[in-house]
Amino acid sequence: MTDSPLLELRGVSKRYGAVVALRGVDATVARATKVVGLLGPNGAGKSTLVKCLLGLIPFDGQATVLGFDPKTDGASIRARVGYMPESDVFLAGMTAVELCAYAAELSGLPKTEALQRAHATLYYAGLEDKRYQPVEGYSTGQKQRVKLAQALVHDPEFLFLDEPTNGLDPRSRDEMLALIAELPEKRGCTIMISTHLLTDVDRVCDSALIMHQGAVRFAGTIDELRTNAGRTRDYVIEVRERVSDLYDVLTARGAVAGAFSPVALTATLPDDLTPVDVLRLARDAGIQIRKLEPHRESMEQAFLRVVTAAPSGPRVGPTLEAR
Amino acid sequence: MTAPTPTPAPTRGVIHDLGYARYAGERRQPSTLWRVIARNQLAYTWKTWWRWKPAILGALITTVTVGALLYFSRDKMFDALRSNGAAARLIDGLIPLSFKFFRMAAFIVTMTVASTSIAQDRSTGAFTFYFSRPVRPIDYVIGKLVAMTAVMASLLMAGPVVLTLFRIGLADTPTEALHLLPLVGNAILVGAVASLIYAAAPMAMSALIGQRWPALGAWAGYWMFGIAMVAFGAYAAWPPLIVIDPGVAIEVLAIKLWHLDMTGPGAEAGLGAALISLTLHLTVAVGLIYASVRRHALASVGASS
Repeated sequence: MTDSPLLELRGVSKRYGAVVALRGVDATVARATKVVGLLGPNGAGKSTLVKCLLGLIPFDGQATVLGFDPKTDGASIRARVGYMPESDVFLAGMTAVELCAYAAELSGLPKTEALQRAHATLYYAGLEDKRYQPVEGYSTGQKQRVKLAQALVHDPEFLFLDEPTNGLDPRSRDEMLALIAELPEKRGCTIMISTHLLTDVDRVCDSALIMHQGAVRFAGTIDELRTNAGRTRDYVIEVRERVSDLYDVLTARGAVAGAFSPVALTATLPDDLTPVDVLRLARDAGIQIRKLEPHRESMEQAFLRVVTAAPSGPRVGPTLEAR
Repeated sequence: MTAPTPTPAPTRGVIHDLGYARYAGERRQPSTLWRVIARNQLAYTWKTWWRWKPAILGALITTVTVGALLYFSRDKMFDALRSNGAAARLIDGLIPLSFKFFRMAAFIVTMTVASTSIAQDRSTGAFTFYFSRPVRPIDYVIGKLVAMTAVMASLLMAGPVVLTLFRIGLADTPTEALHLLPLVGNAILVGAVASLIYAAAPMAMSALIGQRWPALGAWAGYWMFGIAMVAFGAYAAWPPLIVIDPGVAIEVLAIKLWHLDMTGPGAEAGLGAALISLTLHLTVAVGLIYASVRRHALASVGASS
């Protein structure tokens, strides 16, 4: 079981009557992956995919999650997966420690173990002082932490977080992201985050799975998403001064350049001009280059590029390997 | 002679950081999760003073009062009470008649817990909590039903069984006591059937409506007026149909099992009609609960993303 990928989807399709929710989704998430962002506009098929992965609804195609088949072993998967929903998940009148202990028991842990882990997880989530208070009275930030704790309490191997920073103020959001970022190291679990906040993805995810219209449009690392846009000749060049001189030098060699600050420009290099050539040309012209790196799109730009592109399958091979 | 070794002072103020270790022990089988749900439901019902405890007090008062009546009226005949056409002793009719009062106690709990239990879970997002785990809809339904039936049994079965045992203790001769012994089984049977009905019917309303206060209102309206009006309408057409009202059916069941002659509404209905009515109610209620829970369970996970 442990040699199998965390997630493997082959031609996963789901149809609700005339509506096609998933169109032959192919993707593999390796065990070594730490945090994967599951992105896509509303109606992209993210929720349906999660339901399929948890074995809650039937689907066509093949899938394994943690080595188990969701079609036949949904309960085994759900016992090993933690789920933090976007909406509230509170049971009336329960304190945080009761809720987490109950969550652990429902995931199969014995009662004593469940209670011990409930305390430990709430401590980890920063709620040790509030754990005996009813969850209904918590602030939004505290509720998000309880939701994270109840998803973590049974030691999941795979954690699915749905909009984990929704409704949080900047400080709470920062704390929540810090908590999420350290989870793979501290708890040894892989995390999949479904969110619309691309800055969150940029901050904590090492990989992304972008869905649109029921299909996976991109599967790869964040670096690949932001750089591998089919425009591998784009560079950002930062100089000490005289950016206009560098502009002239590069355009004279056939590059398409554009200054975006007094000390930096972007340039699309022609095929016969390498970054080393750029450094040489700058030296010959007496221009001091401080930074030369491949141009990276912002997450928003990369996301929009992927979802607005013609559907031609995943842009990067569908395996998310930790790199 | 050597000086005794001083005992080291106990370590104080040491923080034992046990650290994190992945749980590697056995996990509970999904088929046993209904027990966890039932235990939690019982704990929730017991937790506050107003959900279960007033009803227990009501059942207790009923038990003590009927017990006192049994003791003080043990030699009295009661003309209105007849068994097989002959006048019967009051002591032989008090227990089946007392179900009416035990049912009132049970109705309190249908209002405070049973009619809102599933609705509350649906409206607070608890379904997501349950069904993103190995819990199956059937585990949830069984867990809730078992817990609620146990709560109702504490009100509808415990008192009558205690009273029946007391009645046997008041028997004039050992032979009479032996003769009365099957009544314990009858008390258990009526109590169990009534407990199931009082657990399942309000929970079905709760599952169907899905919002706490509307479910509570709908249940109160249905049980106090709706089903009674339907039953009386049916009674006007054909008297045995009065047992459409499950409350009447429970009383008919009790009275028939105690071999009493019945007067008033329900007199024409037989044991079979009462059993059919109760079985139908139970089947429909459990079916509605399961269908509703299953439908909403599938929709609950990932619904908001």
